[in-house]
Amino acid sequence: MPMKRIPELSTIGMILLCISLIGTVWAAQGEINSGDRISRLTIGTINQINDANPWDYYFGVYSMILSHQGLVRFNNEGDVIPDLATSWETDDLQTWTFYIRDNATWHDGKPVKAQDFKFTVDYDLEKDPLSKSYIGAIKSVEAPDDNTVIINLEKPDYNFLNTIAVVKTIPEHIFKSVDDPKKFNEKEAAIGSGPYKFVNFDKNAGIVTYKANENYWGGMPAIDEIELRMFKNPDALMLAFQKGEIDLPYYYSKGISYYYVPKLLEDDDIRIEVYPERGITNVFWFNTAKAPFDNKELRQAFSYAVNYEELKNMFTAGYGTTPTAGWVPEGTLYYTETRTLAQDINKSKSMLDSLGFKDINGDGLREMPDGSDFQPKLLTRSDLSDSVRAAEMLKKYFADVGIDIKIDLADKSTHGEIMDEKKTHEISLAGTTFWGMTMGEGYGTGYTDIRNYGWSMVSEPEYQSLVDDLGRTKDKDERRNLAAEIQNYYAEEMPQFTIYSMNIIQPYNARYAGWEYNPLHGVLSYGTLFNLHEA
Amino acid sequence: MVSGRKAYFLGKTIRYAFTFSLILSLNFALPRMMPGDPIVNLLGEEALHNDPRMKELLRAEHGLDKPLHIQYLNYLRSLAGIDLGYSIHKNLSVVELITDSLGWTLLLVFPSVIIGSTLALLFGSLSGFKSKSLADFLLTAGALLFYTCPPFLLAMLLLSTFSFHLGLFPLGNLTTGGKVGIDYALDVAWHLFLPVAALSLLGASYKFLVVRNSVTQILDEQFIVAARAKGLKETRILTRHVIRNVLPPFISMVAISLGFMVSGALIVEIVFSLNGMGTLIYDAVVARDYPVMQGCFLVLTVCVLAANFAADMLYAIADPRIGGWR
Repeated sequence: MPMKRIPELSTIGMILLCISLIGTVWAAQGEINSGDRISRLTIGTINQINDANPWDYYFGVYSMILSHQGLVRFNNEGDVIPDLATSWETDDLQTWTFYIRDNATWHDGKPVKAQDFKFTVDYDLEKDPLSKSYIGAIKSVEAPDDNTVIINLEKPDYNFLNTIAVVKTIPEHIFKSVDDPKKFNEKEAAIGSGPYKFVNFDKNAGIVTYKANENYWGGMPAIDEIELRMFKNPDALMLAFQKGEIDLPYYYSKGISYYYVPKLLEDDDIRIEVYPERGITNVFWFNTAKAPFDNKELRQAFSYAVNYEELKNMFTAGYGTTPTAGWVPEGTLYYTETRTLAQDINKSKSMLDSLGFKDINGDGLREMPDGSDFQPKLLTRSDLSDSVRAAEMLKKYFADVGIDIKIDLADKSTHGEIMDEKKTHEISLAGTTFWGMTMGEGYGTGYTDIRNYGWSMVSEPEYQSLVDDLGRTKDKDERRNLAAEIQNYYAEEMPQFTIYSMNIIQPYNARYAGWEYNPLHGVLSYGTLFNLHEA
Repeated sequence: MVSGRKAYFLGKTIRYAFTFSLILSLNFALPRMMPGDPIVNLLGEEALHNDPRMKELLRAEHGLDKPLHIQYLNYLRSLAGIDLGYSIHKNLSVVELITDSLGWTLLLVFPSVIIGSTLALLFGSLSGFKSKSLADFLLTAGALLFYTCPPFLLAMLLLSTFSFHLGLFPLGNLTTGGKVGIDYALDVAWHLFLPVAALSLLGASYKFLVVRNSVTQILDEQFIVAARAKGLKETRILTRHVIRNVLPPFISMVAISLGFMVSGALIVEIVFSLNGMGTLIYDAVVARDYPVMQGCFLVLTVCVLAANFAADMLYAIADPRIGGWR
């Protein structure tokens, strides 16, 4: 019997083949514009949404961009501006009072109230342990009336607005009866108050659809419908873009690879913008809590061994910036000029010599001052091909000054476990994001300070007092001075340094103009959503 | 005669049951033996403060705070109730995730195995039978070309040629969306055409070479010489004597490829943006999503064992000397 099935199934296969060919007559329909408005914008992405649940990582990201709002948000310059709150005040940076706008409504028509925000924070803290990672410093939230939210923090925090900017408000009337939000996959779960309403998620088609919110308090956005099309493969995404099936290839917090640029430049229907990156593509981290990397001269000697120009050419193809010793990216508020990083092999060698790292046994490689082997392990993510290549280049540069490093490849999970929890790394490679750089008290302190993420494990009282001062200082001039001091600290102490940083390459359909870039959400900013028009 | 068949069936069943129980334990142990922590992965970039209580809370939520033997007992208890738990990362039940992905994977893999195997048997026999002819040369060269072609490259070439340049097929995903009934079925078939073609070609190329070589070898056997001496027609020799002897190893190969392809369609799934078992497993491994990993490996185990079991049974039919039929 089973043998008989083979021809039957192959017949089915052949039928499948025939009907597939018939199906090819269907062509994808492009959107038609009516008047000045854009009827549909198709965005292609490789970010994978698993379900239309705001607790799904990427659905959460797109909700924050399109359908949900916080009290405040980042503008195109990276500054915090009003969103659901019209204004705010604080005397001591510990108690913050926000005034909620009175014309905001949820997508189901009910008004947005101060109680919704109080509910959001309480609910997040109760239902989602993960939320403690960013709102754990909130002691309590009060909503004395419909338009006032008072947030009490554990300690003063100037940077609190940056933190609260990523907390999306959810409607109390929907979620108060939901016990486990992560399992609540009904359509109401996606109700927000933003300029776009979630309409549908077709998992098999890989399409998420949003429609303009005609009742949005800030007016009707410029695009009637936004279709988010998911691809698992960036090459297929770019083919779809070149074919005109999508208007915008979009990667959250990233641009496209320079690899695609020459082909795209040949296409008259495509334009490319290059925006400055406010995160850092690849950073060389020292675990400063571990000897011998607790020695700043040694860290400096490492930094002089690297050929930054070569790395910039190799990994950014001209779309990158030359890093500076102050580490913080240009464009950050109170950015301070520090020396540009450059290779100086002789300086590196002489510093290593004076520190006692010398080639004792004559094998061409330096030993530790006590004569033992010196072979630090460079932790690198195996799934990021550029990082692996960069690690190989670094191995070559360090070998040129007599340091033999060992590349320790780890997948994303293991890399995260070592860097975030075990802290057993010696030196490592990892990038940072714009929001990551604003963590802690900003200026990358979240990544540096041992009390926070602390990838470079800095615990020096001098540094920590700068960080604490930033947390409690409101005066602009004082903040400027503190920011400069932090950047000079990085330049001198080098707990980490940038090896290369790539700007954001953002192509788009030339048929449309009015794209605006935002450091948090890239070209999918409110500016774009409200100003996009026919070119 | 009957007892021989029964003994064969019973022996195989016991062996498969033992393998299955062993794999169940390995399935529990392997993910936990890997370096990396699902909770740290979950926290990721968002973690502003290194609050150990938060990690403990999350561990407790997923039952990872309990001793390993308790976790193992819980795991067995859940399996008995076909409750594979909840994905740590995807906020969906593992059963839901797997049924969704497995259905699509089977729709992708089954036609591919059938088409690939049929092509391999057909052209492999022809090539072996007409050994050293022009047809043999061309078919073998073609098979070698596909066999040595990396799956990613072949899939991308098909996508680039037929979808991008010729515009005959879509650039990915399982459906266009918004279709129902027969339109939906046609749409799915249209979307699956290239992925099925890629997998069929890849599967056929390997099997073709095995079939061709088996046929060539069998043609040199004395019973073929005897058949020819008896004056049997060439087609009868091929169908009656040659193919029959090629079938047992061919069935094993098809069974192995069927089990393997349930997980091995990863590259094709990525190129064509399909939701299948390959990407589900890959994502779970990268994120150390234990419940999903366990659930997927369990399903794979069942698929591989079922395919091998079926092969053993078919083997016995194809070659009566094995199954105790004679």
